Amino acid sequence: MSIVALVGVDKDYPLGKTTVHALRGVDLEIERGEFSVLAGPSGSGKTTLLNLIGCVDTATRGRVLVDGHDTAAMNERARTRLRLDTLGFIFQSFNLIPVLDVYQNVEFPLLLKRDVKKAERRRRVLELVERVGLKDQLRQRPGELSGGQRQRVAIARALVTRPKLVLADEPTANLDSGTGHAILELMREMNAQNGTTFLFSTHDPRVMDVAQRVIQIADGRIVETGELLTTASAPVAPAPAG
Amino acid sequence: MRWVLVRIALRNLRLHWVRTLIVGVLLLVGTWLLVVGQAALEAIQVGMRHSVVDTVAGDLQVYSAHAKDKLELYQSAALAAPDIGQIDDWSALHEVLEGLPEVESAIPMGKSLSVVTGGSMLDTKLAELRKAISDGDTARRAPLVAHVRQLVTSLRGELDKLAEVAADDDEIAQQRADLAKAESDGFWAGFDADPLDALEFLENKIAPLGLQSGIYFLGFLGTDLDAFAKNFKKFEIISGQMVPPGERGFMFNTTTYERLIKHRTARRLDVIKDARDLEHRRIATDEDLARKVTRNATQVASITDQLDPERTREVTALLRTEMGLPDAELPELLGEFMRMTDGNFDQRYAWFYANIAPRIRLYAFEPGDTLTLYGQTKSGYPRAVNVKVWGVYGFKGLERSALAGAFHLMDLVTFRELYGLSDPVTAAEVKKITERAGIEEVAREGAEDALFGGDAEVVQHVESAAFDEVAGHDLAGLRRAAEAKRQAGFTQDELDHGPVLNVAVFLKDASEAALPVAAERIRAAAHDHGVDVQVVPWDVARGDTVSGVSLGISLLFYVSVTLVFLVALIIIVNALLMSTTDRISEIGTIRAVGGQRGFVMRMFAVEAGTMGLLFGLAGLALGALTVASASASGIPATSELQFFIYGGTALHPDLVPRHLLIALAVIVVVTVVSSLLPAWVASRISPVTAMQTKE
Repeated sequence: MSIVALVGVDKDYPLGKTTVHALRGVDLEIERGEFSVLAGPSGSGKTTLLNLIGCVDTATRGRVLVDGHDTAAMNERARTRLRLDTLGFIFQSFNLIPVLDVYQNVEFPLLLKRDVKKAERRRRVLELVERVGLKDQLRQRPGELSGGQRQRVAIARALVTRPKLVLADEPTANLDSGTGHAILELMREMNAQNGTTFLFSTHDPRVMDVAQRVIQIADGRIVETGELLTTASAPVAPAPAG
Repeated sequence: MRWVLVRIALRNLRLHWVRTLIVGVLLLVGTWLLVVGQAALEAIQVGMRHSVVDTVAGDLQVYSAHAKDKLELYQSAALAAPDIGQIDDWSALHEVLEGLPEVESAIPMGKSLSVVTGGSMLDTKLAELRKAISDGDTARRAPLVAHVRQLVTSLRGELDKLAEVAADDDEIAQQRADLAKAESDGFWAGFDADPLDALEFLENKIAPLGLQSGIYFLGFLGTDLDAFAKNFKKFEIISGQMVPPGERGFMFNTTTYERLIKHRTARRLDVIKDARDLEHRRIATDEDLARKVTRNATQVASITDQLDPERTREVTALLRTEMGLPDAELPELLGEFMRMTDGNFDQRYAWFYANIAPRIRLYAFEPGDTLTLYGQTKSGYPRAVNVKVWGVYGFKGLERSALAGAFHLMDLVTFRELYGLSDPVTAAEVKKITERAGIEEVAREGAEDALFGGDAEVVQHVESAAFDEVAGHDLAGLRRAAEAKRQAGFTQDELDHGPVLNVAVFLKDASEAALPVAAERIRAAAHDHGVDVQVVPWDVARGDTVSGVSLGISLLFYVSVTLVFLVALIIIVNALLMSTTDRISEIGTIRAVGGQRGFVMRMFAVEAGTMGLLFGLAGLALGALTVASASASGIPATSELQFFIYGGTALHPDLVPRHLLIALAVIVVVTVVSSLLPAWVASRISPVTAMQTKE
């Protein structure tokens, strides 16, 4: 069973007196363990599609299945629980909680889960913080970190609940190319080590280069579902020198 | 996970510190008001209880079960006096009360109102002259004689005016002849030979020609004076002496005595002094005080009229030196002296009391005088009694409260006579007589029906006939008759065996819970002994007027506290709503990564609650400090009402832990409630917004 399945999905929303058809008849399946990219120009429907998969929005027509759950049939509370248990989010503008330090930001979703004991929380948080290379910034606030460091925190936060699927909305858009590359490499590594499924939206060709599959979207339609290159982890191209 | 909420809350409070401070100060003031207000309110309730219980009410009031009206101890004008019936035999009820273990003491009483006319200046001077003669005080005698002659001469004008409107020419002619005699040198030449005879002539024939100097309405309480003085804790003698046991007598209450009976000029000076000392008002800036000064300066005749030639010379000499006006005459000097300013007030006030006050009559009635009280009996017929003034009493700390000082005291036996209360034996005799004569007693309100109704009987009232006649005319005769009675006194038996209107009862345990139990015990015990009474606690007996004051104060407090918190509530709601719009992205993120709506709501509740707790605790501390210092030093009473509700000259609120807990609970509840709407709004923020907003 695929982790994500969309069948005949439309998404309309009103804009003034007209209706915007953000998605039209989208059919899509994402397999477990994929490291894939949603590519397309601005306004093509990338973010709308991520919102539907991320259970923060619901389809106007069609079915969206996430880890076997029909999201339209769930109530808000259950969808929130599904986000907490199954999904991880990485945002373009990082969206860390400013008052909490690195450790606390990473720990935050575990606190929401309520059923993870303090020792276990500590173990997981420290392990992830070390893996994203911020062991020395443990007690710093987001405001004291660089953009790349912040996104590393966000990645750690997204992974700390051990989600089956991580959704990343243009994760490198606010980063310089070198930093963006390092972030991508980190995510690729996570994908390879844990088998976590990653789905990005981007219009950055370098991101597309490292993806296993590039799904092209334009005007709310899937124009190219792309070919899954390999299920094994492919090395990320080295960053351009300089 | 709670610390995350608290941490987030603290961050937001610090971030928007201006907003936090504004709301915080409001909450602080609200909490402070709650702590101080509760303490003050409780102290006021206690103070007012003392003002009522320890001056007139006792813990319980007992009165007839057959009363037509409710007992109201502080009912104002007695013109529409409530009919509270009567308890026919005080001794029977007294015995019942004394037999009950919970009763500490019982004081019989009855309230009524009467009219006293102040004597004319001539009356006063004649009384002084009579005293000087009987004391053999020859030094005072000559100037008094001169003053009386002066006053007699001034009567001619008044008599001329009277002649214009009088119907009885013969009477006027007789009066002119009397006055001519009193003015003649021959009359005064013979005065020294037989002064008492001459005085009698002046008192009976000349003095009535003068105008009376004033009418005084005196509310009074007839009571067992010894029991009253012993049991009402605030009772104290101010001047003169207590009416001795077994004697008839009248005691002025100092408050009304100072206000109504005192010489107007002196009274106005007292009022100005109080206003300056207690309320810090100033003559220069206060219209009312300035008016009083002007009145004193223009109405100097009220002083000069009282001074005989010798005293006029003394005061003139003193004032000439004091004012530095060696040639000025007395009216001018007094006018100048009375034109006081804030600068010289205190010095002149003292000078007035040292030099002028001792030379004039400061009070219309003084201990030793005999009052002729005109009253109405219970059934509405005029009656008069003479009673000796023994002294002036007051209630400790309540000397300035008109409410506490609304009644004077008189012995119960005289009260019964004036109020037309008859004991059972007399009542039975009257009944026998009326039956024999075929006379039917008709109460005032039923009189028209009886006279003009269907089977009308012409009714004559036995009791009224004699007194109506006397009240109008032969006052001197009445005085002489009453004088004999006044001096007769009475036995304890007379006091005990007779009717009373109501009874104040003090209990050994006067706690809130004990009152109704004791009230019911008393009612039942009295009933078993054939006396039907109703028993009400002090706070019912005080009547609606004073209950209204109590209620008004409570209301004022609750309304102002409610207003402060309402404003705080609105501002907190507004501040938190602004906070939700500021934090859409953050809230969206929390929702996106799996935070439920409940978590977001709790986040806001904790933010408001934290603010409430922080500033609430500060308000508590400040409030506790205020109460503690007020408790130690006391809040001085400045207005008349304050003396009554404070139960004395200062309010001493107590710091009670309960008040702090209540205040803390209120503040936390208010803040959490105020966070409900913003929290709900925040919880509706869609997680999609996390994806939309960019930095």
